[in-house]
Amino acid sequence: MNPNGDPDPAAVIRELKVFQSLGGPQVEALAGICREVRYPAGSVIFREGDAGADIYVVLEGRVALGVAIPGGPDMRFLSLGPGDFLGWSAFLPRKPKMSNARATEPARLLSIDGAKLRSLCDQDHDMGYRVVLEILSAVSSRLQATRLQLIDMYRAEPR
Amino acid sequence: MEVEVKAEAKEDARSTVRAIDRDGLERLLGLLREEGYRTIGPTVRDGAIVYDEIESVRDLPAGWKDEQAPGRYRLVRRPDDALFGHVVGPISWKAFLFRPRETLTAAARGEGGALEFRRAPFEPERAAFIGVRSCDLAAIAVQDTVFTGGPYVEPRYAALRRAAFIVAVNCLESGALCFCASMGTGPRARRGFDLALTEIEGRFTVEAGSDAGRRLLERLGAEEARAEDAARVEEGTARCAASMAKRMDPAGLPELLLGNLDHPRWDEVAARCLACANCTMVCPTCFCSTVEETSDLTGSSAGRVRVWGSCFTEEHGKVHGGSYRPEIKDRYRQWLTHKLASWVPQFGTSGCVGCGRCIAWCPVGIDITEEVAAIRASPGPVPDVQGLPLAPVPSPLPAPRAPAASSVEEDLVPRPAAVTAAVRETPDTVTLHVRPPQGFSFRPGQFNMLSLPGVGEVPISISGWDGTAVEHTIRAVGPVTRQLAALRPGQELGMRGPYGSSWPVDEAKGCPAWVVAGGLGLAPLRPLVRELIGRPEDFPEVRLIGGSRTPGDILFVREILGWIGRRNLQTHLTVDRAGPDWRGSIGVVTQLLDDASIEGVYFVCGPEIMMRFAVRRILEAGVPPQRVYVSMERNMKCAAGFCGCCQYGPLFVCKDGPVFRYDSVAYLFERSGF
Ligand code: SF4
Ligand code: FES
Repeated sequence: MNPNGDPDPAAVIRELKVFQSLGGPQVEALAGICREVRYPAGSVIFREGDAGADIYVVLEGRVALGVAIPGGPDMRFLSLGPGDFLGWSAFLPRKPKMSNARATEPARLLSIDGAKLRSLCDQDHDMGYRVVLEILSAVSSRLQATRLQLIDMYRAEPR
Repeated sequence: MEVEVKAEAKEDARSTVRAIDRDGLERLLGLLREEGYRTIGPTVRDGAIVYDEIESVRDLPAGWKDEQAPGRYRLVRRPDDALFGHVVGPISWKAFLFRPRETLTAAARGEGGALEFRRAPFEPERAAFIGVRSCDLAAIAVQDTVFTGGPYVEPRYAALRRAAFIVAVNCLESGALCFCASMGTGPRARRGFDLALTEIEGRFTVEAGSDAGRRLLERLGAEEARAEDAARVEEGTARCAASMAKRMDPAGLPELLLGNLDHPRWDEVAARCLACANCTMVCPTCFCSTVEETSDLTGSSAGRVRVWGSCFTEEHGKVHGGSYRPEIKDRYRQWLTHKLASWVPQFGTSGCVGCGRCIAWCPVGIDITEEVAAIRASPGPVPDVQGLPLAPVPSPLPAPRAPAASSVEEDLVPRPAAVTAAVRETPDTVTLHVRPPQGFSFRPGQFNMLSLPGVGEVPISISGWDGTAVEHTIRAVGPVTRQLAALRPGQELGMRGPYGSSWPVDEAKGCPAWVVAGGLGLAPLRPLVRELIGRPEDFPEVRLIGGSRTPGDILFVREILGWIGRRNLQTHLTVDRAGPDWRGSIGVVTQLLDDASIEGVYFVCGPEIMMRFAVRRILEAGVPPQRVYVSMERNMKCAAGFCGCCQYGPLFVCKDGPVFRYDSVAYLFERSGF
């Protein structure tokens, strides 16, 4: 891990599309529970089964998600880039990480403490609603994409 | 001989009605045979009246009548001995023009093993058709349009048609399943014949409808008909029309049927339909065909034989990987919507002439007029046929065209072409560089038909031009593509083309040009990308979005790497899954369209399902459908609009496509079964 003290996390948060709907005090509160982290290319961010305390938003670089296949390399099924949520399951209590995340390019991430985010949202349901809406939208488009991958549309493709 | 049609024949003084008796008819048959025609007419065989060679009036079905009902046909005795006292049977005249089996091309290895292709030798037989009903005249006119009215002329049909002499017979009694009167195709023969007979109490009136007919009438030396007899032709046919119980209302059928593609009636009829294809075989206008490969045992010569096909077979909609019309419902709907709806924009006329054959010969008695009436009785709530290329129903039928000999016929014969290079792209995909026949040129998006004698022929999109050879990127998935992909430099294949529509490159002038490719869909897009990036002043902003299954499936890797640094091109590739070596994007291609530009023009090609999701994303971004182009794939046997296999709604993928503007296919795009 490579923590890096960022002077103004609130400014970073305001730049992010996923937090666009938050009001000023909500951004300030969020800024209080996050930090910026950097990972060199090839490094592991988290592994399947990790307790998974943090939710991330990719600020820079690329992160690949994969699942370990016994007897072979990871099968990677999704890459995330700037603006994307990573490790959103940390928002849910007692939910371990469901995949391996590895930086495939040097990555800069905004790391948010999942438990603290949850309690922030518990106190401020309006903020909670906005955050959950963003997470839901990310999860929904990933579900969509996963369905398309499931169809394996190029495999028997005629032409 | 030319079949010449004079709509105003009635006014023509020379076409006065003549009269003959049975002996006169015998003399007429004799004269026709003297002029070298084989005389073909109705005759009784196996309990039905069929068309076959007749040598004399004695071969005609004197005193027989065909009793017909849905799913039922049987011959019964008439009280009189009329020769034409029947209507239509299981055979139609298409059997003699669009024959059930026809050798198209023959290929052989010449001296030194070089490939040679020839149009199969063809001697059109001169045939005189005796007893053609008005509905069948209309059917011949319909098939004239199908086979000779498009950009290509089907040479065998055209030759047989040119050599035919048509003796029509007016109907004074209709059959129980006849509905020509409501379709505007009968029972009075008005055009499209050389001679027309009307049988009145053992005698015949004769009119000429062409110069050839008039000449024959002169030779026959028949006397002028009595005025009452001439009048009885009009009266009798009018009475026949008025008494016809069955009818179909042809008004607005294209809109009605294409606007009701989800009507529950399709499920009901599908539950009865056996998909036996009888209706398409007996239909006088159905023209679908497929091709069989033949080869001699030594493999030194091979032929392609066209045989009648049917949209009721699984094969009709089949490509490697599945059938586009897997359900019986899909096939019945294809047949009915084609015949009564799609036919209109395709050929300017309905495909139904009201002869009733499909009703009689359906084993379960499905009645086309009832199916239409049922949908008309309860049309769906919102018939949405926006963007449909519907032409008005012309009435009356278009005059049969005299098909002319045409040099474009030769375009349908493959020519030998040698492979100059074979580049392996992925484990199962190869780009063949093939030196085309002289004078070849193409536009990005078009395709060629590539063939191997004795193996088969397939449509393959053109993936580029290397300066001397045309490039084809082929995935080895079926028997033909496997053998094509295995060709080595120096070996030959058969090539014909190019065919089809192309990417409208200039539509993107000055706009962001988005090229969206999935898998092998990049192949027909590559020549487009090359053109776009080669004209940076016209296309300052090109974006290539490419999806593949795995990194190992990405096509044209070396070329794409070479494009890096092009000032007017941004490339975004993604794969569905990857191992640890892949550093690029992973995820489905549609995710790369999240920031689709509303100003952009989109060129999309890939598996249909990928295109569906990609187009949805693009439209969600607010891009008007008129700025989106897709390239479709269907089964293709002829590439000329003849075989019917490639139909997509009212469109032929081979000649109207493969590239379509999205709005013209939008109403079918989200549906399956087409
Ligand atoms: S459909 Fe009309 S033209 Fe055809 S056989 Fe029946 S009555 Fe005669
Ligand atoms: S009609 Fe034969 S391929 Fe299109």
